[in-house]
Amino acid sequence: MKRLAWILALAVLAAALVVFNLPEPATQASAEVTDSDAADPAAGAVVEEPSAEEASVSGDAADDVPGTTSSDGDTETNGSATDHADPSLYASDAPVGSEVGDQLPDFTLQTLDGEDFVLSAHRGKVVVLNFWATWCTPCVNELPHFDRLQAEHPEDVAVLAVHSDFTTADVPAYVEDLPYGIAFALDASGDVGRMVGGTTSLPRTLVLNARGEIIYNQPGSVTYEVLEELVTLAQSPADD
Amino acid sequence: MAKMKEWWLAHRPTTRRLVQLYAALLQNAHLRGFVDGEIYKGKAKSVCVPGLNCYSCPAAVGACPLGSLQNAIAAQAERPAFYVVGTLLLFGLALGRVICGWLCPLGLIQELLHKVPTPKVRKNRFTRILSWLKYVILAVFVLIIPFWYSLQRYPVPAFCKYICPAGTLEGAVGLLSNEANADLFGMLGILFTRKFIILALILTACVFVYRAFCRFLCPLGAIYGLFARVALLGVRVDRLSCTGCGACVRSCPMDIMRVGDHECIHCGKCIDVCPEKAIELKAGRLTLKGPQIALTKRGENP
Repeated sequence: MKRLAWILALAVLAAALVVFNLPEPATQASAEVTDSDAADPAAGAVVEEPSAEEASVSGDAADDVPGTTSSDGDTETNGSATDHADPSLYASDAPVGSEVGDQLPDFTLQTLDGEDFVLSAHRGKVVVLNFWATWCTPCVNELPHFDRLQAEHPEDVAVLAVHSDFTTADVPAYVEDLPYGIAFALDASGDVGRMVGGTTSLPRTLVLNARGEIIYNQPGSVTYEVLEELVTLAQSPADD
Repeated sequence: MAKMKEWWLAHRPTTRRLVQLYAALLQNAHLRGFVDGEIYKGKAKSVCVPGLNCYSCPAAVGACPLGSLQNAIAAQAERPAFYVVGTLLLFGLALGRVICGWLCPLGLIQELLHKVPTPKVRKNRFTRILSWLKYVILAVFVLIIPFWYSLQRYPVPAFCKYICPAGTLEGAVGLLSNEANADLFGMLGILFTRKFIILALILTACVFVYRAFCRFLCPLGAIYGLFARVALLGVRVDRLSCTGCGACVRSCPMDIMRVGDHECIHCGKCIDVCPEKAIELKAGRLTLKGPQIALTKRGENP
């Protein structure tokens, strides 16, 4: 009887050791190409590789890209609507990835206002992504800094606060009570979070320059001063 | 060959030790977490394990009941903490502090530390008084502080945050030991420093004082201790056979007044000590373990 109990117990333990150590579904962020038709924009992010068209444009337009010539720091910071509408001006041949120096793959998230935030549409601006969650106290405490940053840079910086797919509260209701003017989105599928290197640690902040290249990607809290410095860094002329 | 057999018979692990090892491994079956540097995030994580095992341990497959309780209280303004309280009631009624003695990984760690050959601090009136401290910690850090801040919708799992050595050892050290989490070092501050000092003090104390954390600090032991008389499983004394000699209490390493009271972790050490063979580990009416070893002298093991 006792022997039977031990055999059963060991079988349970063996099963547990197998089941709990199965590999998680592959989430290679930079290699992920999802069918844009299959993804429901309202439910989450559409993650795309830079299209072939963009890649060839970047090769041809390398000479025309303002950032590559040292005298053109002004052109980037005075980004107007027409510049932003033409992504070819800000094409990059950096590798796609989540490290500093890589360019982030394009994605689309629906903001809580109902609009679509398409990353590539903001080329020409500095893009600041802040990954946060309602249950993360330091995240909530630093949201005002991002709000102030957006208020101080209405034209040349685009701030998006992305809530983690790990929700414990009604995020739209929570955000509605907040007095901030920045764009909020919910990364319901978790794709965008995986794409930037994971949201195990929150908050995580990314700063992209006008060409969509990552100049900062770190977990941890930031202050307003740090954000301003990062924006300045992002807008400084690139030395290719 | 005979010497080896002699050694084995003297040193073989008891059933209880085997069950402790088994339970520690079962509650931490996600061993790949140490390889990947990531905690388990599957569905099973929402189920509480019975013992004190940090949710943030890379290998943990379930949630710590104490952490879950604090967070449930911290969120009580949104929804009542029925699930966690219900789980604790279930564990308490079924097992009580049998969990402490047989299933808690932190209990196992403390017992192993106590095996380090040093002079040992014997229990006394002072340790008995100190054993009430865990109820104070339960009240203040697990119940009052999280509840107080929950009224402002600000989650403060105060025991996890300020004290818990399991969190520091399994969670913090467990995660930081993997180079994939090197960026976490930048987030360490005064909270970690204090908790690390607390961990070092507790681990050191456990070498000299048997189960120092269990006896004096563990709020989970305090909770399970509340079920001492009503739990289904436990070490019980047959009152009809008991002569009141007190051998059981003397042999007990915990700060009990009576076998099976709220300090008893049901390790069963007293079972073989009782000269009247009046003590058994029982599950309701069923005897799981009765006295087996013949006594050489009254009240002493061979």
